[in-house]
Amino acid sequence: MTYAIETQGLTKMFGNFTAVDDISITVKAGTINGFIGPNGAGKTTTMKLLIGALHPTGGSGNIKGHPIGSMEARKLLGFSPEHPKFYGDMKAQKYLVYMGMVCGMSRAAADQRTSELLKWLGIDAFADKNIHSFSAGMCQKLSLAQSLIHEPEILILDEPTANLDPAGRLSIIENLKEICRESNVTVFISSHILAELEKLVNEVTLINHGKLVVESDVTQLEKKVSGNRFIIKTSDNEKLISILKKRSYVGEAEMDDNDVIHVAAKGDMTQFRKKITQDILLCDVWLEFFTLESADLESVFMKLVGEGEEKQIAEQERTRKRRWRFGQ
Amino acid sequence: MRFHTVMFKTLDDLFRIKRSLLFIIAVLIVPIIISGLLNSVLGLSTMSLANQIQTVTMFYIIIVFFWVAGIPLVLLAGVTCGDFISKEENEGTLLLLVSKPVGRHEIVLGKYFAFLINILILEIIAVTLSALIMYWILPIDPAVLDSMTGLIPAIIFYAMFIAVTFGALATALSCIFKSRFKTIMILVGITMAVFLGFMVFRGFMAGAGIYDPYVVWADVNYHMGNSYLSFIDSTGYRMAPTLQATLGMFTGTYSAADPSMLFDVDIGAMYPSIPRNDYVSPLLSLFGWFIFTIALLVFGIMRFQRREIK
Repeated sequence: MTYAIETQGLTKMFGNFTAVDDISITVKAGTINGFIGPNGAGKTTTMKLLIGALHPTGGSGNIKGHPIGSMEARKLLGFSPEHPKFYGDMKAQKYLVYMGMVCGMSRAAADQRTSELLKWLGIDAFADKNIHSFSAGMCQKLSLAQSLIHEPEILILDEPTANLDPAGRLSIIENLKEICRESNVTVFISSHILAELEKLVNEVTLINHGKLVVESDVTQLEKKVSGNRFIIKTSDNEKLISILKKRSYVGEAEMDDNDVIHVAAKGDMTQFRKKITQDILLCDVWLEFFTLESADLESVFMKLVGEGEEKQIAEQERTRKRRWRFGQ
Repeated sequence: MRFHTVMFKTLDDLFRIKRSLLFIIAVLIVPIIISGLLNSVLGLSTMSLANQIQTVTMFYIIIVFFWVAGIPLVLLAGVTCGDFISKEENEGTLLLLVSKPVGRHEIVLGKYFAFLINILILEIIAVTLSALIMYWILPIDPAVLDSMTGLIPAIIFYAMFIAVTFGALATALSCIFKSRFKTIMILVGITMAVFLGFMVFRGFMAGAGIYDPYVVWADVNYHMGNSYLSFIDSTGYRMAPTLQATLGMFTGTYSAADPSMLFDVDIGAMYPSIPRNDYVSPLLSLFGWFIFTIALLVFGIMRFQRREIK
């Protein structure tokens, strides 16, 4: 199977610092893949490696079978950086035509595509204005337009809604939804606003400290994270939680501000369901609901990144202790 | 197609009225001042036509060599070409450009050739206006202007030679270094070395008696003067001995260092012609400069291909 984006052990080092550490990812054609991770995780570096602006220290990558950075790969790509920079003294229309022609389009084709994009993005009224007079939102839209100018098959968007107000973010997200709905473009998008990203993506790639943490379908990932967690509401939650906290089949039980019990199962799930039902009956309470807790992308992110952080701290602690013992 | 797109965009940037006017004014100041001085010092109106032609064209050739197609052109090459890549990188516009399906060599060459076209047009204007200014200021016969305009094609070729070589050098440096300041400082250093440093080097080596045909290969100032002569020679123009002596002093192309080669002591006047230092054929010097230029440009492009755009 030829993936839209595929990397094998992609690594990038800046001196002794490893920004991207042996990352192997695959992005299926036609999907919208959310590329998430905390600040400094290596998202932008990975994206710059994919477009060929940076050269990998190790590993390799392909864009629809073409090596990253090659002319063939770049023909298939449209890229919009987090902080797009333009020739400020150029007019928006002229800039887009220039970028189109740089991609090998004829002037007439670039002209027509520019007019379409400016109109579609709602900035056609500013076509003859110098770019330096553009607001941050308009700059992001212009950046999106330049990434789409040559009708690429794959879009790599680095924080396309960064530094925008809610209205600006919403507008960009609506534009992106429309692209995804109306064309078969593969989108590889990074964003910090996971709630927005969740509405857009169907796959997610999470990296932290330059390493791949998880790569999965969003729904499956959310199920996986929430797989052993349930929410329960009864007529007497206080009574039920006091019992659950004593049970060995319960990993964790706590009540939130909305008077809902969150329970994490421990051990076999069938046994858990059976035993908790018995306990509810034992409490003699009226059950309002008992359901699997649904996780959103943000909680998935927090859980996976948090686990990663904990593992890393534990590893650091073990290393420190080993060194201490060795020193003894 | 992509190369042309980058070239036309760069041409748009280079042909800004302010920039073009600034260069032309800076270049014409020297012919204006020297013509004013010559007007008050030389009695041109009382000279014979042959003498007028010889004297005025001599000054025209010197002014053009050092100024109109000389130092300001080299500095312009440095400021313009030295900024090609580093400016785009520092301003962040290069990231989007390199993400597009355009070869990095096309970006460099598109910009470089735009600079050459820009210089060709600016120099045609500047060299022609220099001749006209001298004609307007000095009380000379129209035949002197004819003689100067006859030299213009060769001078334009020389200006292009300077633009090609120093433009390539600055473009290559721009591809190698991110800092514009570093690029310009290195270029200023090389310019000083080419125009002045090697003159001192040659004098020192000749004084020590070790300026031999092997050392001459390293004397880039000599090769530049020699290349200039190949353009002047192509017009059939016969240089006056004073001009030969001046060029000999600044470029080592004539035996100007030895006074016995300049003056005929028996008649107390200069010889009609000073012996040419034919260490290397002028065409070979020209060829050497071009090879050096191409090598620089190729090296710069190779470095740019590997450059990381952050």
